[in-house]
Amino acid sequence: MKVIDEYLKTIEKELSKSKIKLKTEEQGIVSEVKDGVVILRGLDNVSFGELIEFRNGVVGYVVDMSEDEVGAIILGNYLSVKSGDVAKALSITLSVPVSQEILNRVVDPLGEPIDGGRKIKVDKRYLLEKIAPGVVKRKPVSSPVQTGIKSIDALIPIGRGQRELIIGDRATGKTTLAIDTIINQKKENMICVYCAVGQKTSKIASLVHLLKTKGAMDYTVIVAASASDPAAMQYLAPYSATAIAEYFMDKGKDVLVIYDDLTKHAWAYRQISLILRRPAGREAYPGDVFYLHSRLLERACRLNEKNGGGSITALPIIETLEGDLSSYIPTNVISITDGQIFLETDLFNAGIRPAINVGLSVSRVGGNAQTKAMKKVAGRLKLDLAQYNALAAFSQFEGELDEDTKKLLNRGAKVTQVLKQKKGQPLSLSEQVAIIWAATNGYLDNIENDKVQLFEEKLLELIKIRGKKWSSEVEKTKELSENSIKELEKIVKSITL
Amino acid sequence: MKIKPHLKEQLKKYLIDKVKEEEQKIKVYSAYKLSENEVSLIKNKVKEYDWKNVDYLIDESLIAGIVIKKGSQIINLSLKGALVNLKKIVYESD
Repeated sequence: MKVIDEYLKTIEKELSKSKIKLKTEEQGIVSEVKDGVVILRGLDNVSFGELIEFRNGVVGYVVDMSEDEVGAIILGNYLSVKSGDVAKALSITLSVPVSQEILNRVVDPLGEPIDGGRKIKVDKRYLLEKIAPGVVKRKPVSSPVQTGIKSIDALIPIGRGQRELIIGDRATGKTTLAIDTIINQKKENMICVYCAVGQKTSKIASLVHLLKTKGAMDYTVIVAASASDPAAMQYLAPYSATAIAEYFMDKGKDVLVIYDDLTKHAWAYRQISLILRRPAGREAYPGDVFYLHSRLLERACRLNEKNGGGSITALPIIETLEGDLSSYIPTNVISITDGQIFLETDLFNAGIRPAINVGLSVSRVGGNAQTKAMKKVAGRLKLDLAQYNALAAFSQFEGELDEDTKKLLNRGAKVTQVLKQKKGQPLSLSEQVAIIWAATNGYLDNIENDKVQLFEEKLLELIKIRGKKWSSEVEKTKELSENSIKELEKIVKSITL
Repeated sequence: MKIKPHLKEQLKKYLIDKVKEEEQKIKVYSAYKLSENEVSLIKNKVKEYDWKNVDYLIDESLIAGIVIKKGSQIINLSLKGALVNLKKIVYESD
């Protein structure tokens, strides 16, 4: 009983502080309830993006205003909202609670934990919708994101603050690519935010498990709106993930955000728009579907030192149908981002994994951010591959080839083998440099194609045993000096198969 | 009964206008019938409204205090409203 008395006293004390204020509130009445969307009458002075609260505590988000009606999407259980219910404007906009504690957690788009763990302490609230940093706050992209994937780091380098699209058909390894990148950020001083939109809950669960076993959850936040969540939640998830990323960016951190995937995000938005009776455009998407993604991806940036120097790198994922890049959403997002990584089913089935089509993939700004060591070896690699691809097509019809051509074809085949990489095994900068150097300098030319992998394994092993000093030097200076080339040569030459 | 679409449109508009007109009326809800004294007190306290067109209504569920409504705006000064707010701010902390 003593405890209850104590509680009552605290409550009394709290209440005696507050005075009755004359506060005018906005009120409306629900006139229609549709799938996750309500239409209300009243609320004459409500503003766009404002939150409204229904009688049972469910919150809505105003997304549509017409002459005498207001449309709002319901955040949470929309089955409990009935026609005739009273809704009250809260005169605040949607924000997500953030703090350092959010790392290692799985949250829903409103920042509520859904991993069964305890409540997350709130440090600040970050607005979901925010205008991207302007020109004066930004700085050009200058340092690299080490994805740990050879073909990306060498040929399609991504910089911190860049937006690089990962695009491909279903089951071509898009998510794998993104997750490998997260796993590789362990020692890279990066915070990762993985945003799952409209995915199977089982996939999210296995993904969390994978990241946990790899020790990658310590610097990762997962924002999940699965396929069973309302379209409203799926629509908000990417903005929420970006808000969380901005919290860390404002602390001066480098953040990597992965949106998996924006096709489903566009679907969710299309659903909401159609229910709100907005005019449908191409493929039934509403007119502002470009802005939907451009305002999201514009928030990826590299801030200058004056503004903390943090960055947000965005890796949006888009799923295509039958490799069709010219449909609406893929073309939109391709034009918004600073380059794309194109994954192909044919390559995937041919065993070239990651199934990156090097010819179609580009990175528009990442080249400036590549480390000197990688630049040195990647230049040759690009040349070898380009020559190989040019020759490979027509060499099928040619019976006799001259020695030079044969050499080029052989080199190209080896380089293609070298760029293969198993999933969940990201490589460090020095390891990548070592194997690519060996390939482009002809040390693989006399090895059979199927033994290239064995060669690579042996090389990595040797580096771990004998080349510790060499690799730590490369990792530190990010350069490949004459001396270290000589040392690398010694190691490569000592490999016997 | 079939009516022409433009007629339906106009009827709908007329209805909305009527409702709006009705809503512009100030409504004062209270738990019991207010005395002259109390009414003038309210009028003095809430100055942003012109108190020409007022309805006084009784709603016992308010327990005590008053609720003033005008259009979509509402001023809740009832005990019921205060209790609802209290319910919201009291939560379990761990």
